[in-house]
Order: sequence, then C-alpha cells, then structure tokens
Amino acid sequence: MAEVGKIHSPPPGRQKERPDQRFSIIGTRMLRKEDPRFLAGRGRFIDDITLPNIAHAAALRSPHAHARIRSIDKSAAEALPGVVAVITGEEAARETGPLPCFANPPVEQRCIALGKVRHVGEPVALVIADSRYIAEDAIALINVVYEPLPAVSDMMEAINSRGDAVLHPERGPNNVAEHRNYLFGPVEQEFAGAAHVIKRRLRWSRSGGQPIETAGAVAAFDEGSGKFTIYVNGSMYNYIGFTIAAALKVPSHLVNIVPVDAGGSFGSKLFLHKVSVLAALGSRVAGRPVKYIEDRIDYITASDNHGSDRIYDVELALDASHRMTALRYKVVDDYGAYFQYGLGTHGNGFSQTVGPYKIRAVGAEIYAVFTNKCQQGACRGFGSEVTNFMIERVVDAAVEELGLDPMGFRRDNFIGPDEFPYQIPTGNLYDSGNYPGALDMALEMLDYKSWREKQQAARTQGRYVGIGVASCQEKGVFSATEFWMLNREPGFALTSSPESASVKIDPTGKAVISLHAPCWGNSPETVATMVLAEQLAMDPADISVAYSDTDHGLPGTGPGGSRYTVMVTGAITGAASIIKEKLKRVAGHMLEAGPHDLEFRSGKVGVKGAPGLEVAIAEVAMQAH
Amino acid sequence: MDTLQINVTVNGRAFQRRVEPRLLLSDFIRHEIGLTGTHVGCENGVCGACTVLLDGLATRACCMLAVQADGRRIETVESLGRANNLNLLQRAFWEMHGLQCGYCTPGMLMLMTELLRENPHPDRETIRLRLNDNICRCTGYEDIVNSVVRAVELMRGETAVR
Repeated sequence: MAEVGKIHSPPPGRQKERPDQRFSIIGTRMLRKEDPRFLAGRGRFIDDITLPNIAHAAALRSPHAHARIRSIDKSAAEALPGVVAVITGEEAARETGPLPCFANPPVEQRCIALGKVRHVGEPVALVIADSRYIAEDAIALINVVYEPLPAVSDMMEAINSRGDAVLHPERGPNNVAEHRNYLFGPVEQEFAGAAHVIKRRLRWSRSGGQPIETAGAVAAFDEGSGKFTIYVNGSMYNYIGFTIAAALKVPSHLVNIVPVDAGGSFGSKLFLHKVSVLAALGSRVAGRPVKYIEDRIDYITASDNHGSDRIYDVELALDASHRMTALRYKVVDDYGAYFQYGLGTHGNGFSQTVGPYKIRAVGAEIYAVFTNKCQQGACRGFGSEVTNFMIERVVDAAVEELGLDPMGFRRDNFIGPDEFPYQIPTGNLYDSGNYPGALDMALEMLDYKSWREKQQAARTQGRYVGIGVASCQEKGVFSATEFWMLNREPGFALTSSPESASVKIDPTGKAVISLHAPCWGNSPETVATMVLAEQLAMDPADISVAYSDTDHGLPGTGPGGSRYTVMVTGAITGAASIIKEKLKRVAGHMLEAGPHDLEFRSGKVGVKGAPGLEVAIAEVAMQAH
Repeated sequence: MDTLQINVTVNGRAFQRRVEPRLLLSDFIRHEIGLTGTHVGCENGVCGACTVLLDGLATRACCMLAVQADGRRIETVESLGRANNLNLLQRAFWEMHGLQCGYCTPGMLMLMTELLRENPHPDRETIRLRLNDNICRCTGYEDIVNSVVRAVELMRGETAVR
C-alpha cells in the first residue's frame, strides 16, 4: 500500500531543465510555422494523397444494431462495370486477422464483420472500384440477408443480458466485458468512521470527437517486395503501428505507415486500425493502390472512437469537521460493441483520482459492458474530465447537503502548497501545485465577489442566477500503457510511453527536426522549432520540420491524452543536448578552448566571457562534415 | 455513364471538361482540376469546409453538381495569396491564430472574402453572424472573429502587418 500524503524523500527527478528559466525564444510570440501552407490550401490531408492507377473503396454498412449475417449475394455488384472487387467478411478473414485490441483477453473485432454485426454502421462488405461513385453504386447492389438479434442499448441491462443478446458469447454468458474492484487505502474503515456520507447517482453521456475531416487511408501493396505502404491520418503509428502488420498477417517490416496532416482529431483518430487495414486489404486484393475515406455517416456511426458513457453511484465520506476522508464509487461504463483499449479510459482518472483534495482512500468498482453501439476510443484528453466531473459533482452535493460554503469547503480540503510532493492513494506523485492560489486567481478573474452581490440583487427581483465552481486537477501528459496496465494480466511491466525526435545539422548549419508523430492540428512544428532554436541559440528560420514514417521513425506515442507538447519538448531537449556536446567538442578544437568554456550565442559557439572569440554553427557543422 | 461537356473558369483559368452529370462540384474541383485546398467535411451542406465563390457568391461545392457550374466563374482558396505571399485576410488569420488544423480554413477564408468584398468594414457582430455558416472544431471561433477584425484593420491600412 502506497503511503498517502507529503513525501519527504521523493524519487530523484530526471529533470534536465530547471523551472522558471529565462528564455529568449520560448514564451515569445512566434507565428505558427504550420500556418502558411494551410492558409494557402496547400496542406497534405489524406484525401489529397493520390497514386498512379488508384482505386477507391466504399463500405456497405450494417443497418442493424445486432444481427446474424445469413447470406451475402454480391454477384450484381461484381458485374457492375468499373467494380474491381467486392470483399465480404469471410473473404477478409482469409487475408486478415482480428484488429488490434489491448484488452486481455482480447475482444475479436474484424475489419469487415464476420458472421454477426454488432452495431449500426459496422462494415459488412467492401467494394473496390475505379471511382468512389461506382463503389457506392455497387454497394446498393449487394443483397444481404440478416437475422436480427436482440439489440442491447441500455448499459444497466447489459450486465444481465442472456442468450442471443450477448455480443461476444465466447467471453462469457453476459455482456460484462470486465469487472474490477480497485481499492486504494483503507476505504472500508474510512467509511465506517465517517461522520457524513454523501451519495449521488451521476450520468456522463456518450460523445464523439467529430473533427471536420473524417478518417481515411491510402494503401499500396507492392507485390515485388511484399510490402504495404499505408498513408493514414491517425497517430501512434510509431508506437503501436506494428500491430497493423499483425492484422494484415505480415511481419512488421513489411508495413510502412506514412503520416499526413490530420484535419483535427480530438482523440478520435488516435489509432486508426480499421481504415488502415481496409485500405491495405483492398490494395492486396485489387492489385492496385486503394483509397478508403470514411464519409460523415460512416464516421459518426462507426469511428471506433466514441467517448466515455458512464453511470456512477458515488459516495464521499467526511469527518465531523467536514474533511473529505474517502471516495468510493461503482461505475458502469458502456464501451459499445468492442473493447480496443480495455479499461484504459479509466487510467487517466486514476492518475488524479482525488482531484486536488486530501482524500485518503479510494474505492473504484468498474463494470465495463458491451452494448450494440460504436465502441469507445479516446476522446479529448480522455478519462480525467469524467473523473473531475464525478468528484466535483459529489463535492457540490456535500456543499448543498451540509450547507457549506463552496469555496471554503474546497479550500479546507485542498492539498496545501507546502505539502508537495504529495502521493495520492493510487500511488501517483503530484510534484507541485498551489490550488488555493489558482482558485484565488480564478475568483479574481471572474470578480466572484461582485457576482455574488449581483446574484443577491437579482434574487430580490425574483431572478435566479447560478454561479458554479469546479476545482479540477488536470494531468500534464498521459501514458498509453493504461491501455493494458489495468488488465488482470497486463503482459508487460508498467513503464512510461516514449516520445522521440531526431535533429540533424547539415553541413551549412541548417537544422532538420524529424518528428516521429504526425501533425494533428496542434502546433508540433512551431513547438519543436522554438525549443531547438532556444537550445542552440539558432534563428528559427534555419530550422525545418519533417515527419518520419514507420520505416524511419523512432518510438513515439504522439499526440493523445494532451501529452504531445510536453513530451516532444523533452525529446528535442534531449536531442539538442547530444548535438550541443558534439558541437562544443568540435568548436573546442577550432577555438582551442575546453568544451566547458563554450556557450551558444546567436547562431554561434563562443568562448564564455570573450565576445568575438567564436565560430558559427555552420562552420562547425562543415568542419564536422 | 454518359458525360456532358462543361466550360468553367477556375481562379481565372478556363477549363473545358467532360463530366458525369452526377459529379459533385467539390469532387470536380479537387479531383478533376486538382485544386485540393477545397475540403470536404460532411457532403451535406452543414460544415462549410467546401465553400467556394461561384460568380462571387459563397457556395457549398459539395451540394452542387459540376454541370450546374457550366459557364460560371469559380474562385477557390488557391486564388488568394500563396504560402510565401499571403494576402491580408490570410495574414490576419496567421497573426491572430485563426486556425489550428487548417481543415475548415479554406472555407472560412472564402466565406470571409465574400463578406469583405460586399462590406469592407463589417463590425464584429456582422462578422459573427456570417461565420455562423461554417463550422470550426478547433478554435472556438473567437480567434477567427479576431482574425477578420484584424483583416479589416489591415485593409484600412490603419496598422502595419506584424
């Protein structure tokens, strides 16, 4: 059991840069490097990719939430001029394995439904044709006979589903995908000794990311080398992209995944295995490059990336002086038809499960259930927002029931600024913080006091104005290991998730940064350029940014869970420190000075305290070259 | 399928093409003419990413057939400034962070090009009302409104480009 509270001998930090440094470039206002191409309509989005002799795919989608596929007659579709191939689930299953799933045991999802459809919009057949128009014509000619099965739409009923209402009977007799009871600290004792217990049922509803650009992939299978090239607007290809190869039943060195600009994601393009496998499968069958872009309806119904959908029964224990002592909840989470990241969406919440409060123990009973809906994925820095909602709703419930001041109650329970580093019951270490200071700042920005007065004045006129407050902890990054670390048998030791960057200085002293994750609508090029320019005291105009495919990429988890800016900054700082060492060694020879006497200043390496005694990075680079 | 001949002017250049009557104008611009700056988000007239100017009027290219554009004049985002020589509206979007992922941006720019031609001095409210037509999922719109306000300033010559 982890100790809870202030940690007096925290593990040594790996921090290389001190906080509160003065910077000359970081923190200044730099126009985004990404913008000119987008403003001129010269981005490179997935539908902008074309290849010689390309064919186009469209998917026939299930109109049923839950049904057996009795038969598929595709003869009329195949006979349509311009149709190259019509692929059913059975045919796809000969060429491909299940799609990647990080739950253990995994839940089998196929790129094209095999035997059964489990949600509206699930692909039933894929048509490859000379144009998307013809592919969609052909879809209308496919005749599928379905045998409808009971559709499960209510997550509470799913717990007790039986017979034909069970989505994955091979996993058990009901629709419970996973049932875990996590206890952190002496939950029972705290509740037994509580002076007050506040209870609430809370509902967090399903959502979807819905960026303006949908998901898509362009794939080319090269018969000569046996290798697939897949362009896709997803992320995480340099982290878990090798699992796409497994789904295609080829070794991982025979798949190269190439990033493109993504027109937004909001989490929903985190790991686009289905479009990647469909386009690649289509290309192997057709013997031509294939483009598969989900249309808006495809994307809404079958993006594989709906957000959390939960019902909480939550209890907060308080002592007689209204100190929060323990939090306990049972949550039912409607994961939809599949379970690609397992209980991963609860991992972010666990990393900050007590919010900003000194709660000593936490109990979390989680029912993950299957229903006949699109499966959950990652949505908007996923997980922590739901936990924050749950904590703040029950905190407000305590305020209401006990007649407390919403600010005072929160303040009295905050982890104090002098109590960091602070270990929470799940074992996570909060390194620093000042919650009362942040709250003061928020109240001042809102002019809270005057709003309370206005509220009183409005009451006398019979008008009711509400003022809400939420005090949330928001983690800085996330680690995708939560996709599997919450499994009963995780399969791997608990580690963090990597981020990489490569920096090359060419003989003329210009720098190219290679990022190993895509441009996702955030500002990776601007961030990377600013950090490297700061580190090497270079002109940002002398730095360009490229994106590595999986053939050349180093491990990189990429944007997701609001992690990328923090993580890639660390990666570039690390890369820069290696280059700085090397530049100093070479410059030291040129200047006849020891590396420790050298510093970086405006594009040059110079001797400290000796203005004018310096060589340009370009000269050092050419010398080293 | 039978094709029809159409004559259109795209960004000042004349094109004569044979197209299927059912070909969407958005697909014609993107895949026949090869101007991929016009984006497709919903193919339903909702999002506005495909907005182009048709004889000067902002038009959803995804809700119109290419054959309906026969004899007409089309302007796309590529008719504005180039990446290394942005026009004042594009420049204002750059300065004011009026975009993130850049996918809705061409539609926003064409919509605002129409507005600024008919009213070179729109107030904030007018800009907001017109922006109602298009959807952006990244910015929360405030920076787009600020960008257009900034463009108005730049066009008046009140302040220099930063």
